[in-house]
Parts: sequence; C-alpha cells; structure tokens
Amino acid sequence: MNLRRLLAFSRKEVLEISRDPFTIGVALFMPVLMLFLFVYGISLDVENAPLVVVDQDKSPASRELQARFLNSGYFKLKAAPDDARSAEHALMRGETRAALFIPKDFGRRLAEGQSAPVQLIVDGTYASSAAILSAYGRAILYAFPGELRSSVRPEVRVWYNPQLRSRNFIVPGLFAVILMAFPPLLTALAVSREKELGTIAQIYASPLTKGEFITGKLLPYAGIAFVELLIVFAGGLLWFQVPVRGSFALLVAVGLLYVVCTVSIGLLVSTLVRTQLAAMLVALILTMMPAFLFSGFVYPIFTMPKAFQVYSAAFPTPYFLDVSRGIVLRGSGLAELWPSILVIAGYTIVVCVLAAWRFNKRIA
Amino acid sequence: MRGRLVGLLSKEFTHFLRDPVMLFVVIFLYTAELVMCTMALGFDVQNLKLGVIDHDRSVASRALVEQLVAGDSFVLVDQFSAMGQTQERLQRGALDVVVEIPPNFAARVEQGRDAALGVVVDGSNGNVAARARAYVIEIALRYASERAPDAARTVAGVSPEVRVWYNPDLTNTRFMALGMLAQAGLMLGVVLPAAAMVREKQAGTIEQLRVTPTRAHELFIAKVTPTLVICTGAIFPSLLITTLMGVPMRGDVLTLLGLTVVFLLSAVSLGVFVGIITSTLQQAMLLSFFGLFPLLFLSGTIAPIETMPAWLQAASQASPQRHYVEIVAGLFLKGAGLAELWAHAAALVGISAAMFLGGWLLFRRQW
Repeated sequence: MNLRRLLAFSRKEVLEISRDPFTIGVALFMPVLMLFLFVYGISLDVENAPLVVVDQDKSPASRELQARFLNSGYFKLKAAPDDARSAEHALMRGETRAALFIPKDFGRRLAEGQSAPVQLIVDGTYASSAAILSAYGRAILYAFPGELRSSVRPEVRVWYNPQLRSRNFIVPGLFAVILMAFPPLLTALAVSREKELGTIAQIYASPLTKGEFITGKLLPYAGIAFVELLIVFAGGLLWFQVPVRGSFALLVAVGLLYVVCTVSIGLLVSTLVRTQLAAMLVALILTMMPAFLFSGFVYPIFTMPKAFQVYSAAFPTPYFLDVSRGIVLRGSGLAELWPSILVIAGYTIVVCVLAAWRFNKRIA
Repeated sequence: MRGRLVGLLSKEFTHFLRDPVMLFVVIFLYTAELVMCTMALGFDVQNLKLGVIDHDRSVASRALVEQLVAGDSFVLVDQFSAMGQTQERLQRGALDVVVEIPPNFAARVEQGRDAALGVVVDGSNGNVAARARAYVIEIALRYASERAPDAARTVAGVSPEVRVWYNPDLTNTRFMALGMLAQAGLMLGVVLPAAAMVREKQAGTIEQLRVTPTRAHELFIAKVTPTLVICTGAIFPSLLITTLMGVPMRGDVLTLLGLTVVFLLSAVSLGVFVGIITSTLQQAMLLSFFGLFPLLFLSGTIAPIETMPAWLQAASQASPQRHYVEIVAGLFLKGAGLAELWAHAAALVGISAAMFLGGWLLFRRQW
C-alpha cells in the first residue's frame, strides 16, 4: 500500500465532502436530533394515559373512585360522557386508551356492603402499555374504598437504573444505535455515487489499488463518524447528564473501533449496488433496521425466537450495546467486556476484506 | 395533454422497473421485513421471569407466591435463600423480578400491620421493568384486599372487571405487523419520488423536459404514479402475510385500500418536496432519511404517543405515519370504519395538499 497515493485519495474525498456543506450539516445534526427525540420522547412508565369515565351513579363514592384514577398519575381525564356508546366510539377512534364504567347504584351497593361491579376497558392495541394500565387499574380498584396504601406494601427497587430514569437506559443504547444508523448511510453513498456519476472510471484508470481505494474511502468517513460519536457522547453525558460508572476512555476507544466497523459496513453495501438509491435502501435494511429492532435496544433479544437471536447476533450493534450499557450502567471493565470487543474487532476486519474483495477494478 | 402524460408515465415506469435491486427492496420491505419484525418483536408482555426469596415460609407467604404466578404475568424460575444469589441471574437477564418476603410476613398480614415486600426489578430493560412493577403492585394489593383482617374491612369492596379490548391476549405481534406495514409505505413513498425527481436534475435530463411542452403538474403526476401504483399493489402480499400471522381484519378491505392510497399520496408529496429542494441524489437521500426518522418516531410504532411529552404529541400530528398507524389499527383490530377514521384521513389529505402546493410553488420557479 502506497501511503502517498492513499493520502492523496483521502484528501480528494475530504475535499469532495467539505464542498457539500448540506451533507455535513445533515450528518452532524441528525444524530443530535435522534438523541433528543428518543430521550425526550420515550418514557418507560405509562403516565397520563387518556381515560374516558362514564359515571352513571354520580354519588360521592363514584366521584371518589374517579378521583383515585385521576390522581394516580397513570390516567388523565379525556372526557366524561353520559352514555357508554360514546365511550366505545372514543376507544375505537383511538382518542382514549381506557374507559371506566361506573354503573348506577354503585355508591348505594358499596354502602350496603354488597359487592359493587365496576368495569374498566383497556385498548389492547399497544400491548405493553395496555398491560401496565390494566394492572394499575386493577390495583386501584382492589384498594377501593380503603386506602390505596394497604398492609402489604411492595417496596419496588429498580436495579441498574433506579427511578426508572429512561434516559439512563436509553442513552447508552442510543450510542450503539445512532452510530450504526448514520455513518454507514453516508458511506454507502460514497462508492455508488462514483459509479452512478461515472467518475469511478477515473479510479479504474489510476494506479490506485483496491486496498488503497477502500482505506482511502474509509478514513474520511470514519473521521466524520468519530465526530458524530463525540457529539453524541457529549449530548448524552453532558446535556442529559447520564453518569458513567466505568471508564470513559474505554468507552471512547471501543466507540472508535465500532465506528470504523459501521463505516466499513456502509462501504461494503456501496460496493454491492449500482445506484445511490439502491445503496441507501439496502443500507436501511442492513443497518438502520437491525440496529433499531434487533439490537436489544428497545426489544429484548432473549424474548425473540432462536432464529432471530442468531440474526441479531450477525450485526455488530448488540455487541457494542453490551459494551456501552456495561460501561455506563453497570461500571463493567475490560475483564467482563473483552468478548464483545473482540467480536467487534473481528467483524471490522471481515467486512473490510469483503469490501476490498467485492470492489473489482474492472469495467463489467 | 393525455398523450404527453402517458409518455411521461411510461418513461417513469421503465426507469423504475429497470433496477432489479429496487423491486427486490420493495418486495422485501412489504413481505420479509414484515414477517421478521412481527415474529421477532411480537414479544410477550406476559411471563416475566420471577425469583422468590421466602424468609417466612408460612402458608400466607406461599399463598402470595401462588397468587403471583397464578396469572400469566409471572413464571416462577426458582426459589432462593438470599438476595446475593439472585444478583448474577438478574445481570444475565435470567431473572426479571425478585420478590423477597420478609420474616413474620404472615403474622403481620394477619394483624393488619405493615408488611413490607422487597421487590427488585431489572431496570436495564425499562420495558420489562415498568410492567414488572405494575404487576407486582397489582397482585400485592389484591392479595392484601382479600386477606385484610375483618376489623379493617368495614365494607365489601368493589368487584372490578378489567377487560382488554381488540387484543385480549396482549400480544405485540398484531400491532407490530401493522406498524411495519405503515413503515414500508412511508419509507418507499418518500424515497422513490424524491430520487426520481432529483435524478433528472443531477443527470441534466431535466433540461430536455423543460424544452418539451410538459407542465409542472404533469411531471409531478408522472413522478409519483409508479410509486403509488406499486406500493398500493404491494399491500396485497402484505395482507396475505398479516392474515397468516393471525392479525384479524375486522374492517373493510376497500376502505383500507382507499385510505392506503390517501396515505401514500401524503408520503409521495413529502418525497416530491424533498426532490424539489435538493439538487443531488446524495442530498435527497440524506434529507429524506433525515425526515423519515422523526416521522417514524412520532408515529407511535416505537413508543406509544401518549407517553410522550405534550409538544411531541402535538408534533406527531404532522407525521403521516402516525395517522396511518391509527387507521390500520382501527381497521384491522377494532373494526372501525370511515365514520371513526375520517379525521385521520382528513389530516393526511391536509398534509399532502400542503406539501404538493409548497412543492409546486417552489418548482414553478425552477421550471
């Protein structure tokens, strides 16, 4: 590999990128937007789910029950119609997630010591919030009319992430997802653009070797990706103040390795297709989707069927997710994390070799 | 004018069909991706893995454990004698929840005194943690209300009837399948027309079009029609797949088709707009990606909209995908019809009208 040729080629690439401020702007702004959307937008517990109350009793007891629901923090009043029909319509239109029906004579029956039926209907469309809402709904109903605080008092402690602060859980996961989603996308356009514009023929005609071409493309994009990484880390750790229990230096070092890995995936995609449009869509399918859905970021991997656990293990994101959450949340170090780091390193080498092999300096 | 349009249309269709990778991607997104996501991500919101540390070993404590595992919420993995033993399993994800029953639990419950129950939830997966916490609180309160000493029980309680509608077994599968269907539509609906618009600019062939009598709106129609036709057609294999995956179709198929076209129109209007304001394919691809991501996020597929802060809930109104997710969830799961869904359809029409108009005004200057 000739260093001078390599650097000259990299320089050309850097110049090309720097003349497109729009692309750089998008590349650097996108991760920040994603970070903010996720941290502000995802809450782990259900709060203030809209509730429609049909109170046909209108007694002090029924009002008290209604107040229990609304003061619990899990529900907020959406509407209080008189007939059940309009509550059902609201459920169907998706305007409310739950409906509480308090029939006539509720208060009288309670006072007379009879059992008083109450119906709570939960929209099951969003399964996990429906499960939470029906559980809390039942808890409120069981406790009524006594104190919500009963003699058996569950003291729930949440480990690794006390107070269920979603950002502590989300941010280290986002490091892994964002760096898989954006750098490859940019790189995927790098080779296919030359193919589509025809400038690739100039490369074919030059003395540049395969290795130099791949490395020369890799370096500037890895540089951009590293800047993205620093921005995302700064956003997560400084702006959102997520505490890092383990070594920050280790996190950055593995992050750099990971970024080289994801950029080389983009490069591989780029050598596989002819047009930028195809490159972008294939990159979406190979990086964004698995990073989001199959990395364990939102959906835990162990709940997936075996075949998909294998599929998710075929991408580097779960390994970096493991490293990132390990260092940030649990304070793990090299001793626990070396297998995942090794996998990322091996993955990078394999992908780079594949990309160089796929890039044929031939006019097909 | 008709002849011009037909000519332009056949040119666009030829372009589209010439790249085999593109057709593959369309089919992949509408079928394979749908199956994969549905099978893998239709995670069970029940059957959390429970570990128990019973220091009391009484009839009352055993009854509590029985009540915990009686429903579908928890599966008892093992009993332990100290918290230390559970730590490693929690870390591995082999346990989701550990419940520690203190000594003298039975006696305290019988006397109506405070009996604190130690519960540890693995917070590293927040999705699991929030549910585990809700389940434990529910079951403990039920247990307490059934077992409260007579003195504290002045009146008979309410008899709660909690029902889950539309998805009674609380699987995530159905919603996930529908979410992915909407996702495929938006992704292709934005990216394909954007690329088709920009390609002409980048290749310089737009000059050739400019010297023809073609009008701006005719070009728009020609650019979006292939995407509309192909993505609407791709709904059919998806319908077959959702049926096979056990997603009920309670609504009307024709309504679905009609509203799908309305949704795709809003998606392609975004795509055309992107194609107009960018000048190279790279910019168009990055920008549409940039736009797609928040739209996906705000659709409620990743996180339910009501758990978002108010300003994001308001912003979600601008996401076509959000409206379409509500539409397909309404049609498939709830058996809703136009009477319930018209508001979402109107929002989609509004989005497309705004984007097409904005795009047309900008494009007239370039034309």
